Amino acid sequence: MRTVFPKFILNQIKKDKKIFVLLGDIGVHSFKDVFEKYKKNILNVGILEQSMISFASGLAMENRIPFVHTIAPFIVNRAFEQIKIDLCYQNLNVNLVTVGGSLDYAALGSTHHCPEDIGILSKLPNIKIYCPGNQIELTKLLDYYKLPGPKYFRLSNYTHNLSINTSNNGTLIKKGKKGLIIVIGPALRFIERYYEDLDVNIFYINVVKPLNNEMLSKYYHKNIIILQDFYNNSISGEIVSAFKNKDFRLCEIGLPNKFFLNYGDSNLHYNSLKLSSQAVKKKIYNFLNSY
Amino acid sequence: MINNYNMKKIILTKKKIIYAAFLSQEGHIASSFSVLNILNILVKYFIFKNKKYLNNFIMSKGHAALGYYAILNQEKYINDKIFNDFASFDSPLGGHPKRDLKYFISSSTGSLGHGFPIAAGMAFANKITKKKKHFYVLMGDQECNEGTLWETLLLCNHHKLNNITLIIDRNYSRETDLSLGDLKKKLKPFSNNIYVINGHNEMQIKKSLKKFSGDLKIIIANTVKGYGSKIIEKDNIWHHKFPKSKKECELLSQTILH
Repeated sequence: MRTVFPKFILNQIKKDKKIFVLLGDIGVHSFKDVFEKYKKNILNVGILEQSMISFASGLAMENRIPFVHTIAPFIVNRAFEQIKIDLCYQNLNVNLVTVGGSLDYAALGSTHHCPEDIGILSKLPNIKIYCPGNQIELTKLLDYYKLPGPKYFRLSNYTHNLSINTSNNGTLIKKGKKGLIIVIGPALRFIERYYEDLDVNIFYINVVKPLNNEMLSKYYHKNIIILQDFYNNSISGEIVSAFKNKDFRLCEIGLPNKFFLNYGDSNLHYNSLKLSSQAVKKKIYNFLNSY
Repeated sequence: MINNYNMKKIILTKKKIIYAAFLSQEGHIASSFSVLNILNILVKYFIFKNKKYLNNFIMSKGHAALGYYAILNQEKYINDKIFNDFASFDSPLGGHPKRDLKYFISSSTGSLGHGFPIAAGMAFANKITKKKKHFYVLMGDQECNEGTLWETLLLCNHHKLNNITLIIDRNYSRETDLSLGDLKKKLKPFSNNIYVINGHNEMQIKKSLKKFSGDLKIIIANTVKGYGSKIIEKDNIWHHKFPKSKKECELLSQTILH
């Protein structure tokens, strides 16, 4: 996904000179071509994330379309108030594109992890949140950059290999009887090898906010699983509000709410958290069969 | 005593601020008085042209919003009804400003340290599109505690943003708690275009705003918090306090000398 984003920018700037890219001293090399060809449309701002977000809002007020790019925690955590006030409160078109959302930078430690981004950002009004599951979906979602209001694009090192004809309202990729699995973006990789064998409805979303509750409510089932690649409980409140006044059992499969204190490759973390493909399968069957 | 353009008018505006604060039981009277002369000059000469707002002013010191609304009212850009409804349930004019170009508010502010980097973004956008707009930011001196001021000074310096004027309301309101000391000396490395003026002398304010040079312009406006009323000047409790009755309004209004 990291290569798709600079390519998208390079192609799009040709047609749309309003685009302005702000880098927080991250990914400078991958935007080499943009720096060479369109130096008036890109800036490595420096390491001042709070001012960078406010600065971006000023650009948007003067009719530019900013893309702000850095590692997730450095804007989501450090500049949260700027995102809230300068972008969301004023409802300005600023596109935030981050890398390293969950455990992509596992070996760099908790300062560089941001498994809470979706949970905390989704509580802000006006923001749109996109979790593309692979490069094709990312390209499709980036096309929304002209939509009014702030947007958050969460780029991940992990992708799924399914080709889904995605819709903003979510897509039912498998029909079944024993439950409903709501899968978000790259988390689909956990089940892609065996999802067809599961006797459940599988509802895939890569637009986390706004959620189409009306659409979701059509797939109500008494067994509901949320499969995600960020902290559990991040958006379950929003999801279950689609099923209000109905009885259901909820199983969350995702990252537990804790700091990940080990290092090494992120796959080692997923394995130790029982988030390998096989371990997820076991969790799904256990849940569906335990009732 | 300073001889300003229209002393009677400003005294009346201050009385209207007191009354609006009484009606709403909201607003920051002392901070509004501190920046009222600056706002008066900005509105009269720098942010409106042929009665049209230029969308080039950010009130980073958002809590002094009532002062801005009062000058807009004084200059007949907003009517008495809207002004007196300040901070009421459906008023467009809040205790802190909310972006609304219809009411001449370019940016929502209230949390300190946002206005300057926003203005820098606006100024930068105008540089790249080669527009000739000049931007004005009004911030408080204790707002200089926020790191974003220093971050944005680096940005303005590096990108040679000279289409922006930063006005710092130097009223020493919390100097004893976290001293800024010699503010000009601290800002000097970022600009060769710093003016220290009397922030209640409108001739000086206008003159310093008119000057142009290649650097980011910084105006340190020495002011008195609560300026004009001896009662409000001497007690910091007036930072966020309002008259409780019409009688108290009248008493306070009588203390306004300039």
